Amino acid sequence: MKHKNSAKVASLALAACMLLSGCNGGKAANSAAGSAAQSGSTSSHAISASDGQLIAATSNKVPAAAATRKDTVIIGVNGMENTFNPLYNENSAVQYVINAMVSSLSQNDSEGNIIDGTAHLTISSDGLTYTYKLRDDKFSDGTPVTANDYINYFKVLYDKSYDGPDDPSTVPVVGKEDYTNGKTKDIAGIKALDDKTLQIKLTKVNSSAQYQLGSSEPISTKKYGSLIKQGDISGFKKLSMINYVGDGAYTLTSYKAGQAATLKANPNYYDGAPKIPNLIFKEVAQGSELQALATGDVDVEPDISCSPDNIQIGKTDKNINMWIQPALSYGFIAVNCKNPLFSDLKVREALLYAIDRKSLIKSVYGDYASVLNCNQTKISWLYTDKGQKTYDYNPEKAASLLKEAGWTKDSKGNLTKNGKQFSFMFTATKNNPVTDVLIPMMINAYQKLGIKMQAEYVDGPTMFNKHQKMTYDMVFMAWMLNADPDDSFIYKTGGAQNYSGFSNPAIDKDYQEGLSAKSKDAMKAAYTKVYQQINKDLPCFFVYQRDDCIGFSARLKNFKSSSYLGFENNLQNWQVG
Amino acid sequence: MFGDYDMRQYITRRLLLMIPILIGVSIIVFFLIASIPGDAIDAKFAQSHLTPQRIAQMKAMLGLNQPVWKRYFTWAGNAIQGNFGFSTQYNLPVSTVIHTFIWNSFILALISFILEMAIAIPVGVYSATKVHSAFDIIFTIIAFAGISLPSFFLALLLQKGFSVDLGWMPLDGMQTIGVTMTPVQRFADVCQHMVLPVICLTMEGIGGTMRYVRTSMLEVVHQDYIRTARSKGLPERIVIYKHALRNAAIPIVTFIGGALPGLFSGALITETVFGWPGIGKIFLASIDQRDYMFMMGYVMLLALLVMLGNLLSDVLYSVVDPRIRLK
Amino acid sequence: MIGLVFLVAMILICVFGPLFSSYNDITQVDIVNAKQAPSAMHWLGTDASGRDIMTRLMLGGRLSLLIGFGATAIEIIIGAFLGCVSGYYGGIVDSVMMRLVDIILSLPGMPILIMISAIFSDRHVDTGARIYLLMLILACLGWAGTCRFFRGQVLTIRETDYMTATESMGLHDMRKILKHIMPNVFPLIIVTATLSVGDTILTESTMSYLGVGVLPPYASWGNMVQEGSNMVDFTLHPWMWMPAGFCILATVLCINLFGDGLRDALDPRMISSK
Repeated sequence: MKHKNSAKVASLALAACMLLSGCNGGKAANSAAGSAAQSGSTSSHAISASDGQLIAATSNKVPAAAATRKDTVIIGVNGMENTFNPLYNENSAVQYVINAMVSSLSQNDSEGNIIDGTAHLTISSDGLTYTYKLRDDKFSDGTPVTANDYINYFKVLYDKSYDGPDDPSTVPVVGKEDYTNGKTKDIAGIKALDDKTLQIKLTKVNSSAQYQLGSSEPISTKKYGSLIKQGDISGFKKLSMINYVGDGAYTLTSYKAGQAATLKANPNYYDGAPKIPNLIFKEVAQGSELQALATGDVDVEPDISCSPDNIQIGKTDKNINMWIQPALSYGFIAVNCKNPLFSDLKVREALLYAIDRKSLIKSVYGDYASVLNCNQTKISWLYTDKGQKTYDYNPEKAASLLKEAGWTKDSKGNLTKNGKQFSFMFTATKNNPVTDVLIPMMINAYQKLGIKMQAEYVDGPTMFNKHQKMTYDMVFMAWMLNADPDDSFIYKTGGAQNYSGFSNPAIDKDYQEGLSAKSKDAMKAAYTKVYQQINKDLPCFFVYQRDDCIGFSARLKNFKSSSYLGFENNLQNWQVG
Repeated sequence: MFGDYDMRQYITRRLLLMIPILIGVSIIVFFLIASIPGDAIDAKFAQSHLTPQRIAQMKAMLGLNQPVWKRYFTWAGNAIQGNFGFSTQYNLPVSTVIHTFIWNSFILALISFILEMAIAIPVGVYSATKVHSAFDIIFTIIAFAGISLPSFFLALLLQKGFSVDLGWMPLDGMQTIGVTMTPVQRFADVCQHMVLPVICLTMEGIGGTMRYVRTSMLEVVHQDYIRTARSKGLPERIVIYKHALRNAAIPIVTFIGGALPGLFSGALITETVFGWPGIGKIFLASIDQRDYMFMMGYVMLLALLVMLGNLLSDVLYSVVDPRIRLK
Repeated sequence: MIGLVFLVAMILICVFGPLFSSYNDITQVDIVNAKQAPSAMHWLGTDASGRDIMTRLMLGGRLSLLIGFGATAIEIIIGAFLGCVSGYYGGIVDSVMMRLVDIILSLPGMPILIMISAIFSDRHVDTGARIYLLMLILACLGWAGTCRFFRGQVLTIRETDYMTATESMGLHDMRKILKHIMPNVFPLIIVTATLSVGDTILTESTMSYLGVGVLPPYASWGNMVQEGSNMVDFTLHPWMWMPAGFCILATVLCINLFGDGLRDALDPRMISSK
């Protein structure tokens, strides 16, 4: 009876990690963009120093614990699960490990363009045929990678019994449904023209296909082909990933749940055998990231929250480098447009004008975040703010817009219209540094306008559930982005993840244009229209785009990273000294 | 004592009673868990771009579209045969997942418990004999500090002091990663990683026990039969430790029984701050991920331990105080 | 008696203090001045939203003290009384009661809290009221452990000589329980109360951390203390959470002093043995 709570209640919340360091982000790093024209860049790791900002270490003296580790580099992660199979993973910590284990057909450069990965992509002028010319990669057991190995990937993805997180339905490959339904033994639209040439045919033009197809990885036919039976891929799903034969820089050798995943270098890696023989991904508790770096417990820590406090701590520690790059995500306030309170555009504009987004993000992220006004990251080649409103903080404008919309303050100072009071509930999860500051600010700002906003905390899945069932008024969320710009499933009428009830047929048309674009210019034109319209219609309130901070020890050399091409794609060049 | 027929009958009766109660608890908990919004598929794929049809398909594969009572009977039917289902988080049998983590929590909890008792009881007793002395006051304040300050405080303080600043202790985790060691070295390594979490847990728990022991002793020390024992010329030591302590043992015995489930339930905050791969954190994550099978397996295990613990306490009552007759 | 004086002082400050503060509006934020160290403008500094900590401490005190005392009172009254009843009667009564306690103790706390918060959310319960409802629910579940504890004590007391004496006096059962047994466990009630108040405020604190406690913009010592639960705020901004932690400690100490004093005053045997 004394401490009855030690078992029952208590602890740190894992719930809110969704919105912070990008849990459940899926394949942000490996998903690839493609050039619609004929030439793709041949440089396979196009990361440059201008992709981010480095706060360099000023001393080379590292903690003793780290200095003795001459042949091992340790990377800190949080919340790994036992899902190392590339087709079945949804865990962002595990994705780092997977990116080290396998390589994909295409990669991205720092603007989100498609560049060569393990293959060079050519798209036919009618936009229907994708030809990948493979380079001479080898699996970790020395076997050469062939086009058939990539076909295995699609055989798993399109199988009737596939229940992983990837959704194959968006890419219209010829013969896909027939294979899923068992009508054909092979996928008609995917052929290996020869050992090194993979050809994929689509039923119609789709500018997102290059990203999705480009993220496929080879599955060794020699070792695992027998596990992939049409209608039953359970053998492959249950496969232990220890010593999985992949074509990446490292091979997984062991995994201790809750502690660490250990990998060893793949001598047959195409870009050269990695110079560091051993790689370990170690579990680091949330909140201890900087300490883990400072004590030499880890050499690389990618989950450092980019707040002024953390940057300050990082600076004072002389042997920590901090690499700051734009995060592939944006934070926004989801608004239930089906709620009569919010269905009027003027009201939505007013509510946004009343939020001082600049001060908010300055206080939480200092100089490491900026206000965002549309649904794309600023580093993407498709991004533009042309013709968009900035919705700068303006409480007077908010008040006048509300008046125009028919809301007036009654005798008690509450905003009312037709006898109904303007009051709603904001749902959030705890331990999110943005909502901790955002919510009191919003309550305060809206109160001045006469609006009664209440805030409640629930746990992660409950909040997502409310969001999906559209029983919420407002929630704060973040979307993870990748190089594929097609987010129509969020904003188009009836989109699969349109949980705001928003609808504008003009935007639907613009998305269609973007999807059927056959050239880069056409794509850019279409998406420019999308962003402008969404900026105008406010299906949600965009708040910020922030930076990610990756800390690494002074002893690590040749560390390179960019937003679209994470550091785990450049491991082979790392050295310790 | 166990040769005593009454006692054996009592224990048997209690054990038999546990069965219907466990069944009852399992029904309550299963329906409770099922009524929380969201399920494993919702939690896993909240932010991925799956169509509602896909999601429905995947839920059907896990049987999540069945009515709750049907799912209960499926679970119960398997549970009786010892199969507690698959954890959706780990893709492993629930029993394997529990087995992997629970012993980590157990060692921490056991060692802390032993230390707690070893320190709290003598200190409590001595405080009672020297009431209002400097010793008493100092330990009173320490006891209160332990119970009034939140758990993370001590954990972070220890971590900052001994690990980050002084570097004497490892930062977190159960063992040093990336270094090969002999079994003896490994054992020493784990022990070293245990030091800070154990200190943390012990200090948290000491306060309550100390106060209860002290208060119980104070009650007893002034009673007439103690004066009688003293006047008989018995040494003070025997008076205190043999007679008084026996009577102050009731609260302690309640603790021991009540501590049994606690040994296996993991100390959430301490384990999280120190990165100790214990079951407490796993349980919290399983709630967040709506890993129903794991939650049920773990809760039922704890329920069993609660009842066994209470049984243990009750049996010990009659050991400590023969006047108590269990009916 | 010092304890009582301090306690009353603290209560008075919490109740009346905010009226004198210029930061009395609980919704007021001032982001530009967030996380500032103590100064003349803000005696205890500001928190992450720029709100004055001193005022929030007092406003939070009202809530935390109310919850702490309230929940403890409910738990102890129900728990101690039922424990004594159960221990006194023994037999079937004891058996049934203890099995009920077993069931309650087996229920997992976290899922219950999450479910309750989800229900509150679905029913759009007013956020200011949620914490009181929650503590009520928790107190109604929390008596189980207390009950077991006191029942154990009573098992012993029941067999003592002077209790057997009251048997022969032919006293009414309830009278025996209330007048003879409960006073005997009174010192333990004091200890339990002391520990329970601190425990309750800390439970509320952990619940705030998990999101089911006191909701913004309201303050409580519990949710203020949690500001320090990450290494950064813990080390860099101690003024954000230390005052609240200190208040909790002080409250617990005061109750204890008061309780000790009360027990000394009420217990004739202590007096006579001095």
